[in-house]
Amino acid sequence: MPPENAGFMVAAYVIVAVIVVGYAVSLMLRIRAVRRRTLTPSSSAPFPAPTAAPPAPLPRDPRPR
Amino acid sequence: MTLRERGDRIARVGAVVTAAALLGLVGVYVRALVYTPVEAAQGAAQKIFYVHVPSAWACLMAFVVTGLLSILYLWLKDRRIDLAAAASAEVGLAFATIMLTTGPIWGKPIWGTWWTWDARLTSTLFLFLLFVGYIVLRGVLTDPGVRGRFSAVIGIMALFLVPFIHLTVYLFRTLHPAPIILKPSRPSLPGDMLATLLLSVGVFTVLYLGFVMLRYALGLLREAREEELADAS
Repeated sequence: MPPENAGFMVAAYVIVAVIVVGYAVSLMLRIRAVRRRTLTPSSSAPFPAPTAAPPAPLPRDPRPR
Repeated sequence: MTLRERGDRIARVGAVVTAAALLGLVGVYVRALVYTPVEAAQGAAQKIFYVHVPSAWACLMAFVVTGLLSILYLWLKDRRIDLAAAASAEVGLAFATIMLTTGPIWGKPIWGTWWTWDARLTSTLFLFLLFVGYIVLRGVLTDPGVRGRFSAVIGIMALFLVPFIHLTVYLFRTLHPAPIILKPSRPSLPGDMLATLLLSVGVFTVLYLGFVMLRYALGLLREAREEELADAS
Protein backbone atom coordinates (compact mmCIF):
# COMPACT_ATOMS: atom_id res chain seq x y z
CA MET A 1 0.00 0.00 0.00
CA PRO A 2 1.65 3.31 -1.08
CA PRO A 3 1.91 6.05 1.58
CA GLU A 4 -0.76 8.80 1.62
CA ASN A 5 1.15 11.92 0.59
CA ALA A 6 -0.82 13.29 -2.38
CA GLY A 7 -1.01 16.73 -0.72
CA PHE A 8 2.71 17.27 -1.32
CA MET A 9 2.27 16.35 -4.99
CA VAL A 10 -0.64 18.77 -5.43
CA ALA A 11 1.31 21.57 -3.71
CA ALA A 12 4.32 21.03 -5.97
CA TYR A 13 2.27 21.01 -9.18
CA VAL A 14 0.37 24.15 -8.15
CA ILE A 15 3.64 25.96 -7.36
CA VAL A 16 5.15 24.97 -10.72
CA ALA A 17 2.06 26.28 -12.56
CA VAL A 18 2.12 29.55 -10.60
CA ILE A 19 5.83 30.16 -11.27
CA VAL A 20 5.65 29.25 -14.98
CA VAL A 21 2.48 31.22 -15.77
CA GLY A 22 3.59 34.11 -13.52
CA TYR A 23 6.94 34.38 -15.29
CA ALA A 24 5.30 34.22 -18.75
CA VAL A 25 2.86 37.01 -17.78
CA SER A 26 5.71 39.06 -16.27
CA LEU A 27 7.68 38.84 -19.54
CA MET A 28 4.69 39.90 -21.63
CA LEU A 29 3.83 42.79 -19.32
CA ARG A 30 7.44 44.01 -19.34
CA ILE A 31 7.54 43.86 -23.15
CA ARG A 32 4.27 45.79 -23.29
CA ALA A 33 5.58 48.37 -20.82
CA VAL A 34 8.79 49.00 -22.76
CA ARG A 35 6.75 49.29 -25.96
CA ARG A 36 4.45 51.82 -24.28
CA ARG A 37 7.47 53.97 -23.43
CA THR A 38 8.85 53.73 -26.98
CA LEU A 39 8.75 57.03 -28.85
CA THR A 40 7.82 55.79 -32.36
CA PRO A 41 5.10 53.14 -32.68
CA SER A 42 5.55 49.97 -34.75
CA SER A 43 2.75 48.14 -36.56
CA SER A 44 4.33 44.71 -35.91
CA ALA A 45 4.15 44.84 -32.10
CA PRO A 46 3.23 41.44 -30.60
CA PHE A 47 1.71 42.88 -27.40
CA PRO A 48 0.54 46.32 -28.54
CA ALA A 49 0.29 48.91 -25.83
CA PRO A 50 -3.18 50.40 -25.39
CA THR A 51 -3.51 53.67 -27.24
CA ALA A 52 -3.97 56.78 -25.14
CA ALA A 53 -7.60 57.80 -24.56
CA PRO A 54 -8.70 61.11 -26.15
CA PRO A 55 -8.65 64.02 -23.71
CA ALA A 56 -11.91 64.48 -21.77
CA PRO A 57 -13.97 67.59 -22.68
CA LEU A 58 -13.64 70.50 -20.29
CA PRO A 59 -16.51 70.81 -17.77
CA ARG A 60 -19.07 73.43 -18.59
CA ASP A 61 -18.69 76.68 -16.66
CA PRO A 62 -21.52 76.68 -14.01
CA ARG A 63 -21.47 80.48 -13.57
CA PRO A 64 -24.49 82.37 -15.04
CA ARG A 65 -23.68 84.27 -18.18
CA MET B 1 15.86 45.76 -40.00
CA THR B 2 16.02 48.03 -36.96
CA LEU B 3 16.72 46.82 -33.42
CA ARG B 4 13.09 47.38 -32.47
CA GLU B 5 11.68 45.54 -35.46
CA ARG B 6 13.96 42.61 -34.65
CA GLY B 7 12.82 42.74 -31.01
CA ASP B 8 9.16 42.75 -32.09
CA ARG B 9 9.67 39.80 -34.42
CA ILE B 10 11.50 37.70 -31.82
CA ALA B 11 8.84 38.57 -29.22
CA ARG B 12 6.12 37.39 -31.59
CA VAL B 13 7.87 34.05 -32.26
CA GLY B 14 8.69 33.71 -28.54
CA ALA B 15 5.03 34.22 -27.61
CA VAL B 16 3.95 31.45 -30.00
CA VAL B 17 6.65 29.04 -28.73
CA THR B 18 5.78 29.83 -25.09
CA ALA B 19 2.05 29.32 -25.74
CA ALA B 20 2.80 25.95 -27.37
CA ALA B 21 4.98 24.96 -24.41
CA LEU B 22 2.27 25.97 -21.92
CA LEU B 23 -0.18 23.73 -23.79
CA GLY B 24 2.44 20.98 -23.64
CA LEU B 25 2.75 21.54 -19.90
CA VAL B 26 -1.00 20.92 -19.55
CA GLY B 27 -0.40 17.64 -21.41
CA VAL B 28 2.44 16.75 -19.02
CA TYR B 29 0.17 17.44 -16.02
CA VAL B 30 -2.57 15.18 -17.42
CA ARG B 31 -0.16 12.40 -18.32
CA ALA B 32 1.77 12.55 -15.03
CA LEU B 33 -1.22 12.88 -12.71
CA VAL B 34 -3.76 10.63 -14.49
CA TYR B 35 -1.99 8.10 -16.71
CA THR B 36 1.35 7.45 -14.99
CA PRO B 37 1.24 4.77 -12.26
CA VAL B 38 1.84 5.63 -8.61
CA GLU B 39 5.19 4.40 -7.34
CA ALA B 40 4.67 1.72 -4.66
CA ALA B 41 7.29 2.79 -2.10
CA GLN B 42 7.04 6.61 -2.31
CA GLY B 43 3.36 7.06 -3.15
CA ALA B 44 1.91 10.04 -5.03
CA ALA B 45 4.73 12.35 -3.89
CA GLN B 46 7.04 10.54 -6.32
CA LYS B 47 5.15 12.27 -9.16
CA ILE B 48 6.91 15.51 -8.17
CA PHE B 49 9.80 13.87 -10.02
CA TYR B 50 8.12 14.74 -13.39
CA VAL B 51 8.42 18.47 -12.74
CA HIS B 52 11.47 18.55 -10.46
CA VAL B 53 13.91 16.76 -12.80
CA PRO B 54 12.87 18.65 -15.99
CA SER B 55 13.13 22.00 -14.16
CA ALA B 56 16.61 21.01 -12.96
CA TRP B 57 17.50 20.08 -16.55
CA ALA B 58 16.20 23.41 -17.92
CA CYS B 59 17.93 25.36 -15.14
CA LEU B 60 21.34 23.76 -15.65
CA MET B 61 21.00 24.02 -19.46
CA ALA B 62 20.20 27.73 -19.08
CA PHE B 63 23.25 28.32 -16.90
CA VAL B 64 25.53 26.37 -19.28
CA VAL B 65 24.21 28.47 -22.19
CA THR B 66 24.83 31.63 -20.14
CA GLY B 67 28.41 30.51 -19.43
CA LEU B 68 29.15 29.67 -23.07
CA LEU B 69 27.63 32.95 -24.30
CA SER B 70 29.67 34.79 -21.66
CA ILE B 71 32.88 33.31 -23.08
CA LEU B 72 31.71 34.30 -26.57
CA TYR B 73 30.91 37.83 -25.39
CA LEU B 74 34.36 38.36 -23.87
CA TRP B 75 35.83 37.22 -27.18
CA LEU B 76 33.60 39.06 -29.68
CA LYS B 77 32.33 41.99 -27.53
CA ASP B 78 28.93 41.88 -29.25
CA ARG B 79 26.18 43.36 -27.05
CA ARG B 80 23.54 41.07 -28.51
CA ILE B 81 25.49 38.09 -27.09
CA ASP B 82 25.50 39.78 -23.68
CA LEU B 83 21.73 40.28 -23.94
CA ALA B 84 21.23 36.62 -24.86
CA ALA B 85 23.40 35.49 -21.92
CA ALA B 86 21.39 37.69 -19.54
CA ALA B 87 18.13 36.34 -20.98
CA SER B 88 19.24 32.75 -20.42
CA ALA B 89 20.41 33.58 -16.87
CA GLU B 90 17.07 35.10 -15.86
CA VAL B 91 15.11 32.19 -17.34
CA GLY B 92 17.48 29.76 -15.60
CA LEU B 93 16.74 31.52 -12.33
CA ALA B 94 12.99 30.95 -12.85
CA PHE B 95 13.61 27.22 -13.39
CA ALA B 96 16.01 27.14 -10.42
CA THR B 97 13.18 28.54 -8.27
CA ILE B 98 10.97 25.65 -9.40
CA MET B 99 13.74 23.15 -8.71
CA LEU B 100 14.48 24.55 -5.25
CA THR B 101 10.82 24.62 -4.20
CA THR B 102 9.70 21.25 -5.59
CA GLY B 103 12.80 19.50 -4.21
CA PRO B 104 12.05 20.19 -0.52
CA ILE B 105 8.32 19.46 -1.07
CA TRP B 106 9.36 16.04 -2.38
CA GLY B 107 12.02 15.60 0.29
CA LYS B 108 9.73 16.16 3.28
CA PRO B 109 7.54 13.03 2.87
CA ILE B 110 10.40 10.85 1.57
CA TRP B 111 13.46 11.93 3.62
CA GLY B 112 11.52 13.27 6.59
CA THR B 113 13.09 16.74 6.24
CA TRP B 114 12.56 19.76 4.01
CA TRP B 115 16.25 20.49 3.62
CA THR B 116 19.66 19.06 4.44
CA TRP B 117 23.00 20.78 4.00
CA ASP B 118 24.58 18.09 1.85
CA ALA B 119 26.79 18.71 -1.17
CA ARG B 120 24.11 18.50 -3.91
CA LEU B 121 21.55 20.75 -2.24
CA THR B 122 24.06 23.26 -0.92
CA SER B 123 25.94 23.63 -4.23
CA THR B 124 22.61 24.05 -6.09
CA LEU B 125 21.55 26.77 -3.64
CA PHE B 126 24.95 28.41 -4.13
CA LEU B 127 24.43 28.39 -7.92
CA PHE B 128 20.98 29.96 -7.45
CA LEU B 129 22.43 32.73 -5.25
CA LEU B 130 25.26 33.28 -7.73
CA PHE B 131 22.70 34.05 -10.45
CA VAL B 132 20.65 36.24 -8.10
CA GLY B 133 23.90 38.21 -7.74
CA TYR B 134 24.30 38.18 -11.54
CA ILE B 135 20.86 39.74 -12.04
CA VAL B 136 21.36 42.29 -9.22
CA LEU B 137 24.77 43.27 -10.64
CA ARG B 138 23.27 43.85 -14.09
CA GLY B 139 20.62 46.07 -12.55
CA VAL B 140 23.19 48.18 -10.69
CA LEU B 141 25.76 48.75 -13.46
CA THR B 142 24.74 51.36 -16.01
CA ASP B 143 27.67 51.24 -18.42
CA PRO B 144 26.85 48.45 -20.95
CA GLY B 145 30.51 47.51 -21.48
CA VAL B 146 31.28 47.15 -17.77
CA ARG B 147 27.95 45.41 -17.17
CA GLY B 148 28.62 42.88 -19.93
CA ARG B 149 32.21 42.20 -18.81
CA PHE B 150 31.44 41.79 -15.10
CA SER B 151 28.38 39.62 -15.62
CA ALA B 152 30.27 37.49 -18.18
CA VAL B 153 32.87 36.69 -15.50
CA ILE B 154 30.12 35.51 -13.12
CA GLY B 155 28.51 33.51 -15.92
CA ILE B 156 31.81 31.72 -16.63
CA MET B 157 32.37 31.00 -12.93
CA ALA B 158 28.92 29.42 -12.75
CA LEU B 159 29.67 27.34 -15.84
CA PHE B 160 32.38 25.49 -13.91
CA LEU B 161 29.95 24.83 -11.05
CA VAL B 162 27.41 22.94 -13.23
CA PRO B 163 29.45 19.73 -13.83
CA PHE B 164 30.51 19.79 -10.19
CA ILE B 165 26.83 19.82 -9.13
CA HIS B 166 26.13 16.86 -11.42
CA LEU B 167 29.01 14.89 -9.87
CA THR B 168 28.29 15.72 -6.21
CA VAL B 169 26.14 12.60 -5.80
CA TYR B 170 29.16 10.47 -6.76
CA LEU B 171 31.82 12.49 -4.90
CA PHE B 172 30.04 12.98 -1.55
CA ARG B 173 27.69 11.12 0.76
CA THR B 174 24.28 12.64 0.10
CA LEU B 175 20.56 11.98 0.59
CA HIS B 176 19.91 13.07 -3.00
CA PRO B 177 19.47 10.12 -5.41
CA ALA B 178 21.99 9.51 -8.22
CA PRO B 179 21.01 10.31 -11.84
CA ILE B 180 18.72 7.73 -13.45
CA ILE B 181 19.10 8.89 -17.06
CA LEU B 182 22.31 10.92 -17.42
CA LYS B 183 24.57 8.04 -16.42
CA PRO B 184 26.77 5.54 -18.31
CA SER B 185 24.31 2.59 -17.98
CA ARG B 186 20.70 2.34 -19.23
CA PRO B 187 17.95 4.48 -17.58
CA SER B 188 16.67 2.70 -14.46
CA LEU B 189 12.99 3.59 -14.78
CA PRO B 190 9.89 1.66 -15.98
CA GLY B 191 8.69 2.51 -19.52
CA ASP B 192 5.57 4.50 -18.51
CA MET B 193 7.48 6.67 -16.07
CA LEU B 194 10.38 7.16 -18.49
CA ALA B 195 7.99 8.29 -21.28
CA THR B 196 6.34 10.84 -18.95
CA LEU B 197 9.72 12.11 -17.81
CA LEU B 198 11.03 12.48 -21.38
CA LEU B 199 7.83 14.27 -22.44
CA SER B 200 8.22 16.66 -19.55
CA VAL B 201 11.91 17.25 -20.32
CA GLY B 202 10.94 18.06 -23.92
CA VAL B 203 8.21 20.48 -22.83
CA PHE B 204 10.48 22.24 -20.34
CA THR B 205 13.14 22.58 -23.06
CA VAL B 206 10.61 24.25 -25.41
CA LEU B 207 9.44 26.41 -22.50
CA TYR B 208 13.04 27.47 -21.93
CA LEU B 209 13.40 28.42 -25.61
CA GLY B 210 10.15 30.43 -25.58
CA PHE B 211 11.08 32.26 -22.38
CA VAL B 212 14.59 33.04 -23.65
CA MET B 213 13.17 34.45 -26.89
CA LEU B 214 10.75 36.68 -24.98
CA ARG B 215 13.43 37.83 -22.53
CA TYR B 216 15.93 38.46 -25.35
CA ALA B 217 13.30 40.46 -27.25
CA LEU B 218 12.71 42.51 -24.10
CA GLY B 219 16.45 43.27 -23.95
CA LEU B 220 16.49 44.34 -27.61
CA LEU B 221 13.44 46.59 -27.14
CA ARG B 222 15.07 48.23 -24.10
CA GLU B 223 18.25 48.83 -26.15
CA ALA B 224 16.14 50.33 -28.96
CA ARG B 225 14.42 52.59 -26.44
CA GLU B 226 17.78 53.79 -25.06
CA GLU B 227 19.01 54.46 -28.59
CA GLU B 228 15.88 56.48 -29.36
CA LEU B 229 16.34 58.53 -26.19
CA ALA B 230 20.00 59.14 -27.04
CA ASP B 231 19.04 60.26 -30.56
CA ALA B 232 16.27 62.53 -29.25
CA SER B 233 18.54 64.33 -26.73
